Amino acid sequence: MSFYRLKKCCFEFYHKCRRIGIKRLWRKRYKARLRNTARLTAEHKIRLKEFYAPYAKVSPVFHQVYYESTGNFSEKYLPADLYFNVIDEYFNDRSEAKYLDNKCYYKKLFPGIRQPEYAIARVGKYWFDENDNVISYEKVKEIISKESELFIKVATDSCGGSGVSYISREKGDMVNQFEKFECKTDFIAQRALHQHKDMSAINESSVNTIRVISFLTEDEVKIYSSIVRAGQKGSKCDNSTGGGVSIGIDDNGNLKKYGYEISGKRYDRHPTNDFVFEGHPIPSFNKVTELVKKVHPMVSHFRLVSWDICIAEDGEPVLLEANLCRGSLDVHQYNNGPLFGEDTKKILDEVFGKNK
Amino acid sequence: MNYIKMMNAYFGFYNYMRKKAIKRSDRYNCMQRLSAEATKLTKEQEKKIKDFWAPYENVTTIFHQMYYEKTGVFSEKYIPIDVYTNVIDEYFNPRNEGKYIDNKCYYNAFFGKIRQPEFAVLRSGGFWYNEQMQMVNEEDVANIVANENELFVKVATESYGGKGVKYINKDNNIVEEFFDFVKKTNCDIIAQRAVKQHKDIAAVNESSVNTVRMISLLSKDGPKIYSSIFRVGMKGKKVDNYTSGGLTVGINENGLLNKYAYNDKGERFDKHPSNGFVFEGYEIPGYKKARELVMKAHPMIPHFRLVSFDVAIDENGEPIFIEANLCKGSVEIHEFNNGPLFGEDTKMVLDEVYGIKDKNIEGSAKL
Repeated sequence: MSFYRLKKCCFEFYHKCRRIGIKRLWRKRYKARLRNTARLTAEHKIRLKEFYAPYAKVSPVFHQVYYESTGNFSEKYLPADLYFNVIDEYFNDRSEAKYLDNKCYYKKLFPGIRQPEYAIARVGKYWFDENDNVISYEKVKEIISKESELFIKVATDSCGGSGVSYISREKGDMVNQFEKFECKTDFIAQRALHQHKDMSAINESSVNTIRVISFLTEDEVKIYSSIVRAGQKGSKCDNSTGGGVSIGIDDNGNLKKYGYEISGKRYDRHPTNDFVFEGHPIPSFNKVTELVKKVHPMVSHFRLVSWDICIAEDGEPVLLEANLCRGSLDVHQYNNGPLFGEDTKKILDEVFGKNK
Repeated sequence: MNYIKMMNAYFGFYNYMRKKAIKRSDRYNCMQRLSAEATKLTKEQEKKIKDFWAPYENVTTIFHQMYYEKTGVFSEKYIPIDVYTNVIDEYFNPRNEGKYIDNKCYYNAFFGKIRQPEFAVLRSGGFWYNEQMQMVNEEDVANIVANENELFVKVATESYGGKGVKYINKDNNIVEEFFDFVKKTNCDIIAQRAVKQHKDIAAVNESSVNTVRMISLLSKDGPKIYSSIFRVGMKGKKVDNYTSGGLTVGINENGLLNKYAYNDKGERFDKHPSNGFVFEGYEIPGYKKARELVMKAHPMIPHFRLVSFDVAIDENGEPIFIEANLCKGSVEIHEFNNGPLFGEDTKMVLDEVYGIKDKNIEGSAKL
């Protein structure tokens, strides 16, 4: 049916245009981060060109930003446009992620994994209580009025911390605040999580989460990078787009020396509360890696997933979010170097089909 | 971003052409089923159909004619198959989501607490898992399969019509046949153990697992099962669905079979053509429990409001959930056997689908 072929052509043209837009966007963003404090040498540029020659034409702006910010040069840093347009798309089916990456499904997709409690969820047109029973809207109001504070989150597509609303009894009537939340798609109302004191120490006001990016292979779940994301003093959210700081975690589960803002500016202590990062231990970090290794095989359609985990007061890790595609790249590379490290060539060979 | 507008416009055009093709194909199939000396509808009947459907669609009367001819029952509330597929099913079930969620490898996740057939291995996203959901390599898979007596190897997504299901057993190079089948596709695979069905169900046709198919509509008051039918295979065939030549028999609220079974062509039989089994009044064991299973399972996938569930009954009379067809479930099997799909609720359902709630509401437009 030639309509089908025509549709495919149209689709491909659309995606080509979309990717050009993304490429331009990332190159512009990184260009804005340049402070011209350090320039790539001619040797650097040659190494970069030679490394990426078999795969794609890359702009040196990304490597330059990493060199300026971290003081390290490596040709193996992944350019953001290549990562989002090619690598992430290769390992993760974007269309499927749109439907599966739904917080209301987490309880089912990740059974036996500790997750935040929730009071109610709206899936499709129906309201559910925490035991998955269908309930009426009257019952929903009853349940909400009994809670003291809730985080209402849009279930799908909530990147960058938008689509999260905090309501509490201190601010007024719970049901009133709840009804002000506007969302046409699924959403979930989670109870607040009280984090471990060693995590609060980094920044009091926000839930400071651990972001782990893991790669699924036949032999193992390989964790390529782990960071802690801490908010600004007084801010309730911790993600970088909201102005936070990210700090790398070393193999022993301790924070590294420097933390980075999204602009690449680095600090050896938290910019607003002076907390010194170096050597601070992350409680139960080994349990965090165990949790990721247990949970990634449950969503095997997605091979490169970014997990958000929080440590509860009792030291146990709690799974907050599974970003099944388009997980942030720069926070990992600022703190922990080239994302895939020694495996970069092997993985690029697979993505670009060089190992056939 | 003009290319987005262009793509949406093309999408709209493509969907329009796709639906037109479906309409043409459904109408053609319907005409094929009508016999040469087709019982023509009376002028009064045609008027009833036009009047009933006027607020919704411009319908052809051939479907009503077909149902009248094959079942002897006339009702203006029968739903033309193309309207069901193109409008009603699309309204209640998001097709794009169904493409990904309707995956047997996800059944454990979405229908965790519901009883399902055991599986030996499954392949999801290219990775193999054993029945404890631990990742295993191909060698382990070969060992596991070699130890099984018989398996139903199924493509996990989009396996309607019974294709994408292969039966393999120990007497017949089980490992070789297994890899032969799975290497032909990149899709997810699940290899399920055979379900031993209740002897009263096996009595209807020995060779196939004969399942109960129920279509359920989810609304504010919960799921409502509008029609249940019993699907029987032909002698010697291992699959029971009717695109493979099987028969369907309606089940009434007491779990008893109706008088007639229908096949794909609309031909009806009062007894099974291969073994002479008489349908009327036969009791389907565990029918009430099968209904309860569907009432429990449907709210687990609330994005899909009109779902066709396949349930088998095991040797102890307990129901086992086999499949949930999240979109495009057949409608004619229900309407041949049990009359208009939504029965007395037809007008209410159509009002919702076509956005006609209350005549007093301003600007309620057709979808």
